Amino acid sequence: MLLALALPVLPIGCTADEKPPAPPPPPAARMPEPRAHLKEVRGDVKLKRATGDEWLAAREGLPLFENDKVRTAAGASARVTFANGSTVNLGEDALIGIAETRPRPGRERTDLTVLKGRVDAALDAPTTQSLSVTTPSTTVQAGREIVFR
Amino acid sequence: MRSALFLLAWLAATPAEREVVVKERESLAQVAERTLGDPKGASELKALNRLTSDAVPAGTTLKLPSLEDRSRVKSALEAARNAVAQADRNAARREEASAKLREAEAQFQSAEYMAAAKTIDSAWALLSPGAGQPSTFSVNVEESGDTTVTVQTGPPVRVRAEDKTQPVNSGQVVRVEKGKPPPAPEAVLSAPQPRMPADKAPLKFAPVKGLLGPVTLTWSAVPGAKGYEVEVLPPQGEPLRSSTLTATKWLLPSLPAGRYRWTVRAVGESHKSNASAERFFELTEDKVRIEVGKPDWQ
Repeated sequence: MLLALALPVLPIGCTADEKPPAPPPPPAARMPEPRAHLKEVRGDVKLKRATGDEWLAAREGLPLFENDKVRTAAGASARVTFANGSTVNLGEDALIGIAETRPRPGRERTDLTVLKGRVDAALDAPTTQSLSVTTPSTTVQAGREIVFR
Repeated sequence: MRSALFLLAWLAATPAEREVVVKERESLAQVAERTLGDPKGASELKALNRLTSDAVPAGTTLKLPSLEDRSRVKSALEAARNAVAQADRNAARREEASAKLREAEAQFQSAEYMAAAKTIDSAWALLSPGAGQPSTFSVNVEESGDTTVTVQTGPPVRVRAEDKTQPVNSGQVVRVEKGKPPPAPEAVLSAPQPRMPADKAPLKFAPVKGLLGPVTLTWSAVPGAKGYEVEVLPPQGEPLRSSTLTATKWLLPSLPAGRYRWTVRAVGESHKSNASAERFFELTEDKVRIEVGKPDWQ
């Protein structure tokens, strides 16, 4: 079936054995945009990049990308500032994920996943900003209603 | 082969046009139920396919809306309906928000999902009791995954689970258990105010079996509280005594002489208030008075 669908797009006058003209080169790889930044890091705060397996010591000002994870130890805290200006303060013993692109089936993509602990969120201009937070039991959407992203 | 891969990528990126063929003696409502799981979707099919009548001949091919888009807008509509229903009847812009909601319902019926979503957005903006205020809320996830959402300020926050969306206004809290839809929110409980004994009060008792007391602790009632959790602690360390009561006082069992602190928090259906400010009291032994009567022989 797929082959049948594919056949019409082969260039006219080109048999299956012949090589079609080379496709245009893919656009140059671009650095992903950070989704948020870490601020006000206090105590033992660790960061795990989506691309790595190691938990690294988090520092003030570090950019956070999709699927990065941040965790705080007992007595620690940190602030995550999103690109739209909304902020989330992480309390102690918390574990969060940034904008997970592979959410669980049936779940919508969100800005933040809280797996453990307490976070305090703030949107200064909720008529123009939005923030969605997913946990193992619910999704919380604050600010502007966004149905289609 | 490479061409086939390009086509696959194109197919993945472009939502497939969904169609259905009307069966023999099938009404539009029946087609809607079969394809959308909702007989009320007949009006959307009618609008989407520019039909002039509900009677469609068998064999007619009908375009279907994207199930994902329809489901998202349907749930946003449901949340907006709940928000309008729960809004204060005297809220200044409630009527305006209701009108916007009706407009969004009509757009949904006409399969104009994008337009409906925008109208719902403006209904929310009108309805928000905290419109113009910053939105602040907290999310607390327990080990079990159960989540408590507390809204401090700003417009309502939407809490969604198991296909149900519950608006939570400022000053409200909701606890969502894993695998269950969100229940109705409750008012956030304020911390009780400790009353007696006065802070740092020295309390004297005659010792009984080496213990002093009993001390009666009292505090203010909190509207909406189902009970109160009281903890008595040494100046530093873990609680020595704790109890959950429905009354606003506790006859504390006797304790050894020493300095103690205590706190109380209100307990609701699904959450507890913050603990009250700590109060201290000190238990000391009362001097034992020995009364000696006049001897008869004097």
